[in-house]
Amino acid sequence: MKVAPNIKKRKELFQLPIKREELEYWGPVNQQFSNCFLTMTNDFINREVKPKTRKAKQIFISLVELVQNIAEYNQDAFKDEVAPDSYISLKLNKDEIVIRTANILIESDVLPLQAKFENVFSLGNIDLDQARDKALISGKSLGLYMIRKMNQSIFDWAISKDGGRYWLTFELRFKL
Amino acid sequence: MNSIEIEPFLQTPEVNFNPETGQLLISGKSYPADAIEFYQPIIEWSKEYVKNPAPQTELICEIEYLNSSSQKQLVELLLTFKPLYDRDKSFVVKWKYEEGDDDILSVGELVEHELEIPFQYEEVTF
Repeated sequence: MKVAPNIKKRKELFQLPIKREELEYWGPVNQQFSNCFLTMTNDFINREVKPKTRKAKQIFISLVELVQNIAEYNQDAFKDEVAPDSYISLKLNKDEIVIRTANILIESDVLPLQAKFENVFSLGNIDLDQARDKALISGKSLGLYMIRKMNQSIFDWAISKDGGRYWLTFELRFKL
Repeated sequence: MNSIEIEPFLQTPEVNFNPETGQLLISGKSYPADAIEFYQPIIEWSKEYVKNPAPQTELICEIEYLNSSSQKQLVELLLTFKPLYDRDKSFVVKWKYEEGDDDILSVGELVEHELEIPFQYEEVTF
């Protein structure tokens, strides 16, 4: 049985979008999910970006850090509950790849995280190198420093309130 | 003491630590969600190994991907071998990284500097 044409036919029948250039997920994110999703995205990146290049590795490892961070936060912050819905998107535009993530924060984490991100994102190159080195040996937020240090990328964040809940969003753009 | 032999899997590297020859290899991608779970048994093994090491020890790190938690565990692993160097035992780290991958190279250079353990660097193709 040819699976791909069958899927295509069914999607056309139900008028569902076929988006070869985008991986998008909206739902619970835990450790098991992140393992599956990252395996899938590795294939996507290797298909859409010249594989085995530094850029492909940087895109992938950035996504690893962001997705695993959401899974870890959901596990720590919502211990006995089902992991809350989070959003992950990896989209290929004409000349760039855009990674977007969004996850719910518990209210007591909002101010400390806001202060932490304001600090991390305000660091210049020299301070960033030092912060990364310190985090590698004995600190926290190593993943954030790693992503911020990547060249030719634009990395941004926001915390906003929507529907009575606080959301942390990241957007990372890599020029191709 | 038994060898450690772990086959590479989706998110974890090959590990082959032979206590008789002193050849200790970590090779491939390392981005497990729970890096502690993967690396702690290797670290415990290494703590035992340094008590009675082979005449020459060569730790080969052949790294393609490293997530942040794997980086931290690798630092902890390397730290367990520092007593060999401090006791004038023959010990070297061979840090192999993909050609042009300055991110992985800089991790090696930082660890070498911080732990004061000798590293040999080599660019490779995966």
